[in-house]
Amino acid sequence: MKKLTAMILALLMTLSLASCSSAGNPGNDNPGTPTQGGGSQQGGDEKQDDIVLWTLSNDLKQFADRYEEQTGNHVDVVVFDSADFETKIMQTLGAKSKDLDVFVGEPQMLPNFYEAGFCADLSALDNEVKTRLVDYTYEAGCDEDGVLRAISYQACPGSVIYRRDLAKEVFGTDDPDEIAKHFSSFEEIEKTADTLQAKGYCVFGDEGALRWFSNRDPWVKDGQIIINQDRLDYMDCATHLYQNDQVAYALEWSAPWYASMAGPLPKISEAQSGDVWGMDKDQLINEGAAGGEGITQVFSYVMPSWGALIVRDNAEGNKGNFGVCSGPCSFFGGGTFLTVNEFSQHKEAAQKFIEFCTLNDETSQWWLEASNGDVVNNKAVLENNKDYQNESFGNQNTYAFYLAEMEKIDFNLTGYDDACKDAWGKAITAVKKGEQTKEQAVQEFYQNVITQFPELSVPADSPYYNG
Amino acid sequence: MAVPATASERRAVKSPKGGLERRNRYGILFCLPFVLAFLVFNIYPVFRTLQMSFMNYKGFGKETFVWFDNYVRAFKDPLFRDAFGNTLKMWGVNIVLQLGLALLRPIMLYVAVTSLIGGLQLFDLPYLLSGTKGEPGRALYTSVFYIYTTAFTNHQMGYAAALAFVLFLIIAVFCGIAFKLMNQKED
Repeated sequence: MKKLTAMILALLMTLSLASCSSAGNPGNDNPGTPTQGGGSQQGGDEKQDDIVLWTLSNDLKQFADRYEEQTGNHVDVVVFDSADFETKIMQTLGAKSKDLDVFVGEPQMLPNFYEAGFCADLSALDNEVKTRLVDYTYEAGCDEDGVLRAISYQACPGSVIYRRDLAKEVFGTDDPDEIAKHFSSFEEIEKTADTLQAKGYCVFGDEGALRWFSNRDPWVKDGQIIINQDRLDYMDCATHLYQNDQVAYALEWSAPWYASMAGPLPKISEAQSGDVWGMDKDQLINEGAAGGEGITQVFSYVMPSWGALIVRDNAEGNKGNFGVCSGPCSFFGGGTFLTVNEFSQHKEAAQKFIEFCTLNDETSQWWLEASNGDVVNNKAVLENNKDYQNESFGNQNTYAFYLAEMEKIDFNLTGYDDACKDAWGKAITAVKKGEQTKEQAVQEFYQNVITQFPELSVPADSPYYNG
Repeated sequence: MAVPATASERRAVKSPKGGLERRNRYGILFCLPFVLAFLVFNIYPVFRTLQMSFMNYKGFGKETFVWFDNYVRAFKDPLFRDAFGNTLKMWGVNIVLQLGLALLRPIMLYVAVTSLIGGLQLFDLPYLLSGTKGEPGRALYTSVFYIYTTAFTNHQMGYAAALAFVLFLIIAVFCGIAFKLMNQKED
C-alpha cells in the first residue's frame, strides 16, 4: 500500500509539470492574456475551412465577422497587446506551432518573420497584388528575394495636418498646395516656424515631428550607413526649432499634445513637459500655465493617415478646421499586413481569408466606410472615392491626396532602421541641448551604430567621419 | 556480526550491496520531478546559452560558428562598458544601505555576495522607469538591459549569449574577491 501510494504521488508530481505548460496555447488565463473574439461562437464542429488569426489590433474582428456572414467559415481572432506581439510570434512560430493559421505584422517586423521562415509563399497572388494594390505595400510584403509573403488591406501615407484658420491668418490662404510650399524643405520649415512664432504660434507640438521626414533615403544601403546632407538638414532644423523655442513642448501622446488639437494651450517650458504629461485639459490649463509663458496654439502635426484620424477625433470645436498637405518628402508609418503561417494545416483556407480582406474591391469599399476614415491600399477603390469630400478636413478630397502621396513613397525599410533612428535622435538631442557639437554627435552616432551592428561600415566620404 | 532479530531487519539486509536499497528507490522517485524540471529549465538553458555564445545567431534562421568573436567583441564594446558602469553605480548605492545594517561579518559576506549577484543583474526597474529606452541619456541602461536589447531588439542572440557569460564571469570574480577579503579579515 505504501509502495503504491508513493508511486502514485511521484507520478502525479511528474505529470503536474506537463500540465503547467502553456506554450503556443492562446487564451490561457495568464497576465497579458490575449483577447479572443470575431465571428459567432465556435461550436463543437470545426469545419475544414475554419481558421485561427493572431493580430495586434481589433480591426480584423470586423473582417472576420463579415467573412463568416458571407462564407459561413469561422475565423477565431486572437488579439494581443502590440508591445508583446512580435515576441509572442517569434516564440510560438519558433516552435513551429500549428495553433494559428494567419498572423499579422507591421512593416518593421516583417523582415524578421520572413528570415525566420514563418511566412508562407503567396506568390500565386503576386500579379494581382502588384496590379491592384499600392506599390509600396506590395514591396513591403515581399522578402529580400522578391517573393510575396504578406499582404495588407490598408495604406498609411503621411502628411502635414495643419490648422486652416491659422493658415489663413498667417499666410493668407488655407489651400493645401500653397501651405505645402511652406513645408517643402527643412529650410522652408525653419522660415515657417519663424513666421508663426512672430504671430505667437508654434509650428509643431515638438520638434520630434520632423523625424517622419528623415527617411527619404535608406538608413543603410549595401552594408553602409547613410548620413547625407538631408539628414544633417533635419538635425539643423530640429536644433533651430528647439533653440528658438518654436515648439510647444507638447510631446506626442501627452495631454498637452491632445489638448492642442482642440485649441489654445499654455506655452510651457521643456522642463514642465514631463510634469504635465498625464494632466487632463482643465488641469493643464489651470496648473500647466504656472511657470510658463502665456498661451499658444500648435499650427500643425506630422503623422501617417491614422494620425489624421487622431487629430480629427480630438479636435472638438476645431473639427473641420484642419487640412492635409505634403511635407519635404512622402513617408508612411505602420500598417497591418496579413500572412499565412508556414506551419499551418489550413493554408488554403488561410489564403482565402487574406484574399477576402485584401484583394476584394467590395471588402475594401466596405472597410473604407466602416472604419470611418482608414485609408485602404486598393487603387481602384481609392480612385472611385477620390472625389469624396472629407468634412472633418474642410471638405478636402483626402483620398485623392493620399493616393498621390502613396505613389511617391520609396519603400526603403531595413532591419537597422529602428536602431539608426534611435541613435540619430540621441545625436540631435545632444546637439540641440548644446551638450555636444555636431561633429561629436555625428561621430558618436557612427560609433553607436557600428558597435551594435559590426557588420555595417561608414563610407569614407561621410560627413564628420574620422575613420 | 550481530544477527538481525526482526523480520524487517532481515528484509533490509537481504538486498545485495550492488543493488538499490528499498528506501533509496522511493527517495529517488520523489526527487525525480524536481530533478527533471531543474535539468530542463535551469541546466539545459545554461549549456544552450553557452553554445549560442560561440555562434552568429539571430534567434531564428541559421547558426554560424564564429569561435570567440562574440567574446572579443564584448570586451571591446563601449556600450556594454557604459551599461556595466551604470549597473555598478546603482548597485553601489544599494549595497551601502544594505551593509550598513549588516554589522556581523558573516552576515556582511552573505549580503555582499547576494547583493552582488542580484544587483549586477538589475533590469526590471530601469527598464520600466526609463520607458524601455534607458533614458535619460542611457543613464538607466544596465548590463542586463543591454543584453535584453541585443537579444530581442537587435536580434543578435549569439552576441547576447556571450555578453551573458561575460557578466557571469565578472560576477564570479567579484564574488571570489569578496570571499577572499572576508576570509582574510577573519584570519
